[in-house]
Amino acid sequence: MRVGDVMTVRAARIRYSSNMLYAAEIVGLSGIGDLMVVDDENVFIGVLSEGDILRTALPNIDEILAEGGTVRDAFEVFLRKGQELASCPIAPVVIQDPIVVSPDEDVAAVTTILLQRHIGRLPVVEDGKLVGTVSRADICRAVVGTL
Amino acid sequence: MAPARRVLVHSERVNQALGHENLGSLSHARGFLPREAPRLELPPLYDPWVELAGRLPALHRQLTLRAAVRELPTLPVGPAELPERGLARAAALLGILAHAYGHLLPGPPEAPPECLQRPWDEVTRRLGRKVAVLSYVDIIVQNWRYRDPAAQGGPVRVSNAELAVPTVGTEAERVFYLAQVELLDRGAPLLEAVARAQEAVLADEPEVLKDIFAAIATLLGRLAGETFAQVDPNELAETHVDPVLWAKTVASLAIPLRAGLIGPSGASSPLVHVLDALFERHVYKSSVGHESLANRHSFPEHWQRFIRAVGSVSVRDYVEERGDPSLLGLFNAAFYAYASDHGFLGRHRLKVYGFLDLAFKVGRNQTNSGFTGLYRERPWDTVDDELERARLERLRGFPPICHRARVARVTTHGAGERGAQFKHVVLDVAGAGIRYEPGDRVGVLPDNSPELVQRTLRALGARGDVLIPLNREWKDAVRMRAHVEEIDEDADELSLRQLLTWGQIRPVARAVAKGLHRLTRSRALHRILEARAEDQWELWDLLELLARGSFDARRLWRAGPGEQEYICRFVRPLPFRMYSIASAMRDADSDEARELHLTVGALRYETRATKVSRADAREGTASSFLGRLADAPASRRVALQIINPPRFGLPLDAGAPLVMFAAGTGLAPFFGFLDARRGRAAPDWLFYATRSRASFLHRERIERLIAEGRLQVRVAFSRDDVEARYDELTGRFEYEPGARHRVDVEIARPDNAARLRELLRDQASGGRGAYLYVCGQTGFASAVMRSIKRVLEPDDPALDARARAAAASHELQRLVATGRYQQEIFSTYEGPQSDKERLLNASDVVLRNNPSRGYWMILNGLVYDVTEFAGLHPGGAKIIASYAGIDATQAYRKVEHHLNAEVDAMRGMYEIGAVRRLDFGGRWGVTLGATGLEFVPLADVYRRWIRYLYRIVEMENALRNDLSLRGAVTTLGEPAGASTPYKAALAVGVHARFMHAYLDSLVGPDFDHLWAMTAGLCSRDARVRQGGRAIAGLRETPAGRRVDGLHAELDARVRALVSRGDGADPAHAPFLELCDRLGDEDLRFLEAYKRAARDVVIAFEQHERETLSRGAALLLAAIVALPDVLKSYYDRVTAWLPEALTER
Repeated sequence: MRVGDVMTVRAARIRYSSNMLYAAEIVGLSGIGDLMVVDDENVFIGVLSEGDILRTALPNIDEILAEGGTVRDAFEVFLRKGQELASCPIAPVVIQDPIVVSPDEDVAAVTTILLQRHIGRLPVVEDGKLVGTVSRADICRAVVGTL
Repeated sequence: MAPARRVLVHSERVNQALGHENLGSLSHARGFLPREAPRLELPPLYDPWVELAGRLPALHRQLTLRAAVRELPTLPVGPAELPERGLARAAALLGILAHAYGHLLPGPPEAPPECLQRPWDEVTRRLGRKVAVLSYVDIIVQNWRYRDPAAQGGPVRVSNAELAVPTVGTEAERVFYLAQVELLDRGAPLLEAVARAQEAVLADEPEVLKDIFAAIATLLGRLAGETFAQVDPNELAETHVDPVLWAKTVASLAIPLRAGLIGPSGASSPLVHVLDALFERHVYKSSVGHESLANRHSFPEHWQRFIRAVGSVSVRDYVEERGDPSLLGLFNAAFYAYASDHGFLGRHRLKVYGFLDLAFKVGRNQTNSGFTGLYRERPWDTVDDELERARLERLRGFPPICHRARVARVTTHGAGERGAQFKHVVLDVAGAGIRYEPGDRVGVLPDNSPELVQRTLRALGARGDVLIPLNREWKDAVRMRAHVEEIDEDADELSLRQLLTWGQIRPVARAVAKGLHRLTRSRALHRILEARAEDQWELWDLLELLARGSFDARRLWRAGPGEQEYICRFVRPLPFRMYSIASAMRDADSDEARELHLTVGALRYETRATKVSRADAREGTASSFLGRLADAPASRRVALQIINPPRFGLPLDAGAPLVMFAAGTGLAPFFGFLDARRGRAAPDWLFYATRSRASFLHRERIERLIAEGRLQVRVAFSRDDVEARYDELTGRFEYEPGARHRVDVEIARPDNAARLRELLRDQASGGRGAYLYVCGQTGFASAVMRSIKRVLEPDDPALDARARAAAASHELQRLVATGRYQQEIFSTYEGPQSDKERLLNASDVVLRNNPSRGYWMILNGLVYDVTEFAGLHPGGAKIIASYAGIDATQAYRKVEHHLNAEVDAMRGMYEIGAVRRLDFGGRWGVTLGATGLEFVPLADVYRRWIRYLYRIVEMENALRNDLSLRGAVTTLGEPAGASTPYKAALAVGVHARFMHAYLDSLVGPDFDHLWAMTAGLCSRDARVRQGGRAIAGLRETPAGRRVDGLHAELDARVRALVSRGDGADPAHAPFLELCDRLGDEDLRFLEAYKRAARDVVIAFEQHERETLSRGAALLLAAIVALPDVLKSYYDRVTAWLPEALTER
């Protein structure tokens, strides 16, 4: 079985020039944690994950200490930074050289990557263009399930 | 002529012709020691050196040494002034003076002045040595004299010799160095033995070779058991060496004065080199191995030639080519007497560990071989690892071996009564090259029963013929089994049935249970582990339990090496089971035993149905194995190993009577003893405890011994209402009605107690000086010890009960210290740890680390009260004290006490409960960590605090050991407890280390982190840096700055005193007192800080999973209070500290 047979063609994607607010809303609406980042020609650029967005908002120790140095301060800085983040571009947070797979790849090979690297979803790229994504759920459904 | 003989003869001739031994003392008669004694005469020109060396203890005491040395004239040492025959003495004198000068004060050594260095360099050059360094020859071979000049030429012993140049002049120094001299003297026959071994090989005389191997094994056993043993950390031993005193005042002397040089150490003994050459050690990769080679290259010429000559004939090849099992057995016995964990090197390592552990903790920071390290890095563990690596290097190429024996006959005793059945097994060991002495133990390699194996196969869902690829551990096991079984010794796979027959499949070990839990994540198994009930299970029923949780046990045997499930990770080879030998070698046996007897009780018990165990009948692996032998054909073979336990054997003084206490099969070793003591006039004594007449073991044999006038016997039946009385007419025991009773009652009977008192009294005070031996299970051993203590109580009416008990304890300690109270204790299965009734909090344990509260210790989750044991411990009380109040499991395992059944079983005598395990129920919190917000399980936070608390306790223990020096005699001629400049310098070193190694680490970054993490968990509004800031703030106050910098002030003052050489001036008295007082304050700080950190732990203990909800305020208050302890320390010290430490 090939990746092309099981992948999700309508991948949650976002343009490289977008801002965090837009990214956050797509994550929220689609329920998908890893957004595929493309340029205007649908050329694949990288992956933006919800974890990375959140990590950007999480304060580091110096920020917390500057704020007062309590756990409550940390929690408040987090909320404030999250809001400030909305207008920032996504570009600095995008992972530029992620693992990609081709539609011809065998699903067993992809499963191995997903499990061994603790990845939930991989971009499927053909000739530089994003053609879909393949997730653990996709493979589960196709290989173990009956659909 | 054999090469070794040629070198011996040649060296003797050359030395005689030269009239000196500068090329290396070497002779048939004295081995590596000078032919007569070190030549101590020097031309009168050198009187200033000799005179100064004679004053070394006083010069140390007053710290006037350096000033005095600088006054020395620079004496010429050319051939015109100093003849060749004076060179060795000059080298020893100059080396010792230079090193004493260099190491007078703790810390980096100071280079000796020109007046020493120049002649030292010249003497070094004339001796053909490369560089001036205090060598093994200088400090051991050349630095002794007979106490009685008339003894000249006789044996050199610790007991009849003195150091030619003592530095501090204490007993610790004398015993430590002279034990090494004695080792050379008693080891001298080894040189002759090696030469004869070569001759026997060249002449093809295997029988001669057998005698030689037997003699070497005996000699090495004596050297380890008698000579090493004199360096005895037990305070009451005749040749006591206090490890702390040794570390502070003796150990540093020989550390090279410049980096990169190697000083004399255990690896420098030429005997070790001879043995390495004889047994063809090839691997020298460990750092100790490197050092050993470097040492060899610096040996005198004759020594080097001899060692090369030893290596030039392969005795080992000859032994292997002959293919005679008895020859091979004896060769291996000799090798094992040298290199095994119970042999010469193994015992050396254990002793070194005990001394270095304490030495590093009290501030030694370098060994002679250049190991360095700070307290927190636990350098004593590093040194130990290296010594062990070096020992294992020797074992490489010598696969673990065993002897092969045949079962000659098995008889069953006490049949009928449940659980009290014994088997007497006679093994035919003729031609196996086995030798043993009374008190030795035999290890038997058992098999699992076919039924148990079958059940395990079923649980694994496997057929027995599945082939399992072996790992290294199993390959070694197979190689060993191949001595006995029909199997290819190089097999790299084994059928599963065979693997299970030879593997540990019952009871389940904790490590195995943990491994299975990692694989299965089974909740049921988790509960079992938490309850420490894994020992209630055997592999097969545990696998069945896991199968119900849908674990497929077939994964275990299908997985290959390297995989997590690989079965060899869960089934390890069965170890030898130890038994006492119930026979003695006959004279007619000459060097080899023909028979070996064992008495074995059958171990059967039932596990109960509880939440974490199921009901079943179980039986002990080895006892059921030996039981099965009874029905087996006579051709049945058994694999054996002989173990020589260091502390259980007949007295050297054959005239002293024995008093033996035995319970059940504990009788076994005493038959060996009695066999060996045939022909003695006076009878020995036996107190025997058993259940009933039916279980009276070997009654007829005992009756014979009584009839022959060799034994007096008292019997206590615990479940039979009779008294046994020996009837002289019939020569048999007669039974009269009586009350069942245990051994303590028997001992306490007035006539017995009186007789014991007389037997125990020293010969010097008109008593018999008897040796006591106890053999039985832990409960029995405890009962005997309690009763003997009552017997030892003085009946002085002026003393109250407590004083009498204290006197008795002291007397018992003295008996143990002098080898007159020996125990062989065996443990038996005592039920699950989960059943322990008394649960103790870790917070209670940490308080038990001092003389007033006693000493407790945690090992594997159990708590032991070792207060009394501290005085009985062969490794001395100070090492016990250094691990009191904490979890000492790691150190206990490090010295392999857990692997030595005879040691491990003693634990049971002192067990008082189990540590309460706290249940945090998976609670967690989010707090501030080093980089930001952090998730932490509550259990982790607790673990970090308990470790922190233990660290404080360990520091407190180390400091208390440090301070023990204040009451000691550190230099010859000072009253105990006197304040001296030397002690003040040591005290300044102690305080400096308190500051750097203890205080800085306790309130440093680790503290900040732990404090922050905990504060954040307790309250969202806690400022997490507050703890660290509070500490930093305190250290910045004037009081903090003054106290923190105090050690530098003190050090400067000591150095000024040293350089002026006015240490004897009474004006220094207040300063010396101040140094003493500071130690008290440091200790007080650690005690108070421990109590404060203990409050933190108590918050966890009280609230467990609710610590962060209900206990948060308590926890926060506890951590907030920690910095206060530092503040009171600063305040207290500055309150009495003079404004400035200016002099006069």
